[in-house]
Amino acid sequence: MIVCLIFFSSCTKLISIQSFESESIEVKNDIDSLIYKMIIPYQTEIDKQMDQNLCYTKNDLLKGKPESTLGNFICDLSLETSNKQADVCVMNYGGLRSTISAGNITKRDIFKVMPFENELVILELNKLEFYQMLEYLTKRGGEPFSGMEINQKNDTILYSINNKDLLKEKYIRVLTTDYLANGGDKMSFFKNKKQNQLGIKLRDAIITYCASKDTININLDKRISLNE
Amino acid sequence: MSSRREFIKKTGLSTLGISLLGNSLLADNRLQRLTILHTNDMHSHIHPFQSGRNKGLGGMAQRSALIKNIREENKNVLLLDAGDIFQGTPYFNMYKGELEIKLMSQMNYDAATIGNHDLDNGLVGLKKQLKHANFPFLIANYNFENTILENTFSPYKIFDKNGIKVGVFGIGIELDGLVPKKLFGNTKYLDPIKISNKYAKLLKDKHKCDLVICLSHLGFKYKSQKISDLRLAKETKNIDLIIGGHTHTFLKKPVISKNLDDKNVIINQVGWGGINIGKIDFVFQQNNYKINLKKSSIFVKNK
Repeated sequence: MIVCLIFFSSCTKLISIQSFESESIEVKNDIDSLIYKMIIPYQTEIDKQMDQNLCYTKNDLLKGKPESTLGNFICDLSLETSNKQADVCVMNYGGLRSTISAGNITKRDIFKVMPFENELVILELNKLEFYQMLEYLTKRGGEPFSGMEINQKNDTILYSINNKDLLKEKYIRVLTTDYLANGGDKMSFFKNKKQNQLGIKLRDAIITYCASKDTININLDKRISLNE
Repeated sequence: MSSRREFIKKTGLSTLGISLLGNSLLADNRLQRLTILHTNDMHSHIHPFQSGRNKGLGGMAQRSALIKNIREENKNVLLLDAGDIFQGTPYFNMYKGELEIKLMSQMNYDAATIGNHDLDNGLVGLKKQLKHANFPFLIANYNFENTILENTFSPYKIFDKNGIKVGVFGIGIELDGLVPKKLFGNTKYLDPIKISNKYAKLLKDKHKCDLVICLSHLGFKYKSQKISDLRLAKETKNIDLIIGGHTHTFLKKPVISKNLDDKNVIINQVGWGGINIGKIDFVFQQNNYKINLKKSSIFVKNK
């Protein structure tokens, strides 16, 4: 019986790894026409949707510092979307991935500007954290924001929040994306804050806003001025 | 036919390397080859990248052509995906993952695991797409009891590839903090190390698998102590290969780590977006015939 068992166990482990080789192959060139055929009807419908006109912009929506038409556009509409649940909105220059030329705005344009699935969230910053945020915005030479004015004069940063007397408030409600709220782009003053989710993706907010307008007219409005 | 020749030329170097190895070693019928093909974090990239540094790379029709070519040369192939199939292009926004899963089924994927983004439309969003899949999603450390996905997934699957027994199990990342609670509901996340040890042992000892593969969406490595593929390899036994995802890590070649038994664990991950396919060719020997070869002498041949 024992012999039998030993025989059995030595017999079951028949195969072991002798060697291996590996490579990471770049996917390109050849096309499987069967797969391609399966894609076409979906692609046709997507193209139709993506090329759909949402609204018309009079000016180019461009990236830039300290302020930009694209940055102002996105932050202003986001703050509007929050429906007064937030006082100010702060985004990041690097997160806006494309620009939009004057003329019709399509869904595809919005997907190019915002390919990420970032969600809108609201954080409550105390005054110290808020001031750290202002320092960050000036040090970075400006980042997209809305709902306030910033005026840097030598070592001082003057600011005013629209429709709000900061002296009376304990917290400032900042609208941003979950990406930045999780510490993206070194916005450390956002880290470990409770995130109140608005339940809408930034891209969807832009699309909804554009679809609700005929024409948009975005200009620079000197919301930030920095030391020379 | 010219496109086929083109393909052979493009991958000529490596194919040659393998066939040389194949000819000398595989002429001996006690040796067998098994090819593992793997992807991770394809993120709904149906088409090749249209701009940026990856311009012209990727695409599911292109991936399928590559896989078909490899399968023509070698019948012993396992095709695996380490999760985050969903999210990243309008295809997901509009079709909720339907096309991705249909194409993967058409390509004859053997198994996948669940990435955090595969729950971006909630448990219900994943459930709705499962009817398009002819391959299983394997997940061992999510407990879906009392959710709509209860009794839907197996923790592992065993494949018999021409006599080589391959056990594959799936490990997912902690969902809390990555996926909104309302989307994953009552899903419980179980300790990856404990669960991996449990299933790897089951596959190796009870089911006598010749190769145990962990399909992991934990991520390759972290600065913090967060559980990663590197940590999983070191702190477990009985896993031979970890196919990873989540961190979008482009490994030029697999990393070899030692497990708790001081045995080798191969860890690999191939970036994201379907830019690359990982290909690992194993040569197995039948031990009862061989005397001289050192046991489990895993080595990587540099190309």
